[in-house]
Parts: sequence; C-alpha cells; structure tokens
Amino acid sequence: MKNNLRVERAILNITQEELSRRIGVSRQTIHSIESGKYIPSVLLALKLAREFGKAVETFFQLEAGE
Amino acid sequence: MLSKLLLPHRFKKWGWVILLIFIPLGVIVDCSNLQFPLLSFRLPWIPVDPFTGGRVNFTNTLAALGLILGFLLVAFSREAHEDEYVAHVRLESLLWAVLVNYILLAVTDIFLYGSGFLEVMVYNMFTPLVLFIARFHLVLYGPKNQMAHEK
Repeated sequence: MKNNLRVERAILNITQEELSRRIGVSRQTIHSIESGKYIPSVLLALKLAREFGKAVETFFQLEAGE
Repeated sequence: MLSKLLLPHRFKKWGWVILLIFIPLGVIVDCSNLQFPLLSFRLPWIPVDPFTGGRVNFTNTLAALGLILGFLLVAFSREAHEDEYVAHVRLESLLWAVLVNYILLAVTDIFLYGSGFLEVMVYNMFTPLVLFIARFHLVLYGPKNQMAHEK
C-alpha cells in the first residue's frame, strides 16, 4: 500500500506533531505511516480523512499485485 | 487488547530506578560471588546437608529478583502516549526478542558446555526482556524516528 499523507499534510502546512495532536496519536505514528512502515487501522485512516476533509482513498492506495 | 495487562506509565521510572540499583549488584555478585552474611538463611524446603547445614545465601537470589522486577516494570509499563502504533511495535518487539533469544540460545548450546553454558543460562533469565526493551525503544525513539521538527 502507498500513501501520500506527507503531501496532503504539506498542503495544509502542518507539522507531524500538530497532526498527531489533532488526531490523538503519537508523532511517531504519523511518521511511521508517512514513511510506509506502518499501515494504520481503519479507525485511524478514517480519522485522518476526516481531519483533512477528504476521502480515505485520497491518502491510501493499493499497489499493483495487492 | 493486550494493553489491558500493562501497568500505568508511572511504573516505568521505578523500573529504571530498580535496575540502576540491581544491575551493579548483579554484576558484582556474578563476578566476585559476593554474599552478604545477613542474607544467609535456613530454608525449610532445602534439605540439610553436612556442608551448608541447609543454609543458603540469598544475595544472588535478591539480585536476580531485583533485576527481574526492574526489567518487568520497564517492559510492561505503558508509554506516556499509548496508541495503536505503539501496541504494534510492542507486539513486534516481543516476537523479535523471543526469536532472537532462542537463536542465541541454540548457538550457545552448540558452542558452550559445562560451567560456561550454565553461566549463559543464568543470563538467559533476563535476555528476553533486555532484547525486548532494547528493540522497542530503538524502534520508537531511535535515530530514524527523531525528526521532531519535520515539516
């Protein structure tokens, strides 16, 4: 799975720390999602989508073969 | 959720304090066979023999128990901010620690015998917890995650 959370966060011009505070998770969680090391739960993905006001598919896409 | 079994975060610092006391004690006991005379007891479940009179010295037992308590408090206390990623890293680190511990044990089983092997078995009381604590904190707080000001 790939994600463009970093791009979307840059568009809003907020830091990882600020986004983590808004979502209610640790900064390490945001960092690990952006670097592709961690795939968030459905709950966390929906919270991110709600925070940015966009659909979940905007942030997370399946890669070929998945 | 496994996190229900975790201790509150405040226990973690007490774990580190206990380890600060008992790691030096454990090293000294292991290297010099230190025995505090006051900790020599006659335990009812130890058979009486003509050499020891059934008395055992509790110094190394105290050191081991202190280390076990300290490592358990550090390993199984919640983080200040516990979320799903932390739980994921905790599970991953537990699996890794058990796997690496048994690989090391198998290697020492092949290459060490007699008293050397027994020495390793003593350390093996603690290595799963040590490996878990090391990997857990390295993944969460290590250099790759220290981008506090990343924009």
